[in-house]
Amino acid sequence: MNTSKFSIWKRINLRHKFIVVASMFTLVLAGLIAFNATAIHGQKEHTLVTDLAGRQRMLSQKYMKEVILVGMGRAAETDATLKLMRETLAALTDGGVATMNTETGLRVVVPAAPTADLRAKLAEQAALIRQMETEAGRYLALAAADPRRAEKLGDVLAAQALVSEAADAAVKMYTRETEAMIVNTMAMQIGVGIVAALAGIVISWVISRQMVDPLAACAEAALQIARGNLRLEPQRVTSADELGKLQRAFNEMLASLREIAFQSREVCENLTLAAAQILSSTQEQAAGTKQQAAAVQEITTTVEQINLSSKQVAERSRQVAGTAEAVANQGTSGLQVVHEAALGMEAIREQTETVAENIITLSERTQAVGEIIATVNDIAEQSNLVALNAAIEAADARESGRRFSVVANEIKNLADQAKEATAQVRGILEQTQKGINTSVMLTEEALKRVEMGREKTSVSEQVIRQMANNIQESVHAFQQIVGATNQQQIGLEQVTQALHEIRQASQQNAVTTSQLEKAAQELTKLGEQLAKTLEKYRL
Amino acid sequence: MGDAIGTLGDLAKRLRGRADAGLRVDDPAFVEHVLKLRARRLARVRAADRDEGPLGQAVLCFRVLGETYAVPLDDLAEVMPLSAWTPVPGQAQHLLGVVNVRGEIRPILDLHAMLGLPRPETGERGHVAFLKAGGGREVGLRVDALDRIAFIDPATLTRPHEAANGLPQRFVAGITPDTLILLDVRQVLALDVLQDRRSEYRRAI
Repeated sequence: MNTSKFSIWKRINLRHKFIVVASMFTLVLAGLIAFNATAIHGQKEHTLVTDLAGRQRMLSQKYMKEVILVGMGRAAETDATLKLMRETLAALTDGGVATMNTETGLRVVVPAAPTADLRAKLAEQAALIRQMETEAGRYLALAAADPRRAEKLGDVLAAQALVSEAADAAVKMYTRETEAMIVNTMAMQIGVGIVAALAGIVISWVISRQMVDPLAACAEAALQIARGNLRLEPQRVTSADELGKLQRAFNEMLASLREIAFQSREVCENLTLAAAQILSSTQEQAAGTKQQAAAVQEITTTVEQINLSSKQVAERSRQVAGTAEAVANQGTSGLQVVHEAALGMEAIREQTETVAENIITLSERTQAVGEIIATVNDIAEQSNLVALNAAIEAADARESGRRFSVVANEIKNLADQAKEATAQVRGILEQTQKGINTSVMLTEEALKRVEMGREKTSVSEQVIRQMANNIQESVHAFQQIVGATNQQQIGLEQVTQALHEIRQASQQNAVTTSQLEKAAQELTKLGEQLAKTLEKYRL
Repeated sequence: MGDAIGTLGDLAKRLRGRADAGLRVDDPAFVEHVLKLRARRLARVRAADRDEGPLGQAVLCFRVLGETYAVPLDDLAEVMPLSAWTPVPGQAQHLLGVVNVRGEIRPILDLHAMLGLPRPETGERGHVAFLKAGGGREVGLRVDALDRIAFIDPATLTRPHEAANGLPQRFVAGITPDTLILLDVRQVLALDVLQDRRSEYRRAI
């Protein structure tokens, strides 16, 4: 938080503020104590001065006594006493050091006479002391037997009485002065005390206002929140100290409370909805549980049927395994047969090749016959021409050629027959050639097919071998099926057991579901109550 | 496959049969078959000879483009295969060319052109029948194939120019009932290309 917008005082935290306030009160108290001490000290000085002024009377009487003692011939220190009197008087008049106690030698500092009246009185006292000294000197100067001595002593006594009066007057003046000063001091003390009390009240009021107002506002807001009113304005942060932190924390608390209340309301709505859904789901589940129980019953029946059929499967598998073994043996003999067939195919191929060679030889011979036939045909043609020319010659010879023409005609007929015969032979040869061509093609085809047959035989061999292997595998597989079926039966018994347990579990499930239904109804009620509770919050 | 094996087996059986019976001439069935054919042919020829031989006119039959034509045997000198001929430039279309026979140069007429038929392919050379043209000259007729010698009765001939059926057939002498076309040799020999024009040319000079 930016604290620079507050003044220095508002940035100081409360602990330091309290220290500052305590220091201020201590300062005020110290001032008062100092003032009292000063006043008491002044009082003490005044008392000292009054004592010194009073001692002047006693010193004058002592001096008188000593003068009398001296007058009576006894030794006495009159000069020391007088000197003390003068010294004291000088200290009282102008200020200075005075001997308080001659035996201990205590010396005190006294101030000068504060007023002109007092100074004049002291000066008069000094003059009287000098007159008393003079009178005492005169008294002592008289012989002991002098008659005037008693008179003179009276004079000295009178002087001493004057000094004593003057000292008394000075003491009275000092006493008045002291009383006036005491009154003055008391008034000053009362004034200073009032000022200090006012200062304390002002400081307390200012500080309490700074500290208490935010607290009161916070307390009011807390009360409002407790009543559910969350539509409060946020607290104004007035300082950077703990109170400011409190206000800020209060604002954050208000925001988070509002957020929580919002979320709680939404959550409550969702909760109500979810509870309703749970209720409907639970009812559906109850129906489903009943169906499940019926289905489990059906499954149990089916599993028993499966158990029966699996026993049949095991029996059939055993039979099939036996059959498959027989088939495997037959496959081995089939393999032998196929091998023989391959040998036969090879023989067929060799013979077909021989046939093809023979056919080719035949074809060549047929071609030679054809050439011969062509020659014969040519001869027949020429014979025909010869016969025709002979006939023409015979016709030219008229009657004499008539018999020759018959011969010529015969020759022509022979030639025609020869041509016909060659034509027939050629036809036969052509058919033969066609047949040979067909044979060649068929033989080639036969060779190809024999080759194909060989390939197929080898394929058959492989197939039969494969088949034998497969059948062997099938035998293994069927044995495995038998084993598996036995395991399956065991498994089916376990399944039956498990189904029984499932049925029990589904019955328990039905009970649980009804409990769950009740719980869901209660949950719905709780959600409604929660919604009512949350409606207390005004957002 | 089975069908092929069947065919192959059948063929083998027949081959074995042939190899056993084979082409041996002393096979009675074969010999009998050949003798029967020959007897039938001889019987047929004799009958024709006996019926038509003494009667009518002897003609040589030949074929030109599918039709059978005939020329009287009396007008023929000889027949022979047509080996090669030499075309004569500057002559009419129906003069095929000339041919050397035993040192003689003889003209050859093209019957196809004379009868207004399309020319045959040059590969088929055919035969030539030489007509006696008088004066020891001979003129050849090119024909596709020589057929036979027949005897026709002139009384049974249909003569197109006399019947006045509007068919101006210059070279046709007549047609027999069995549609044998008898050529008129005189008309053939009267063609312009065969005339000796040397006297005329001399006169013109």
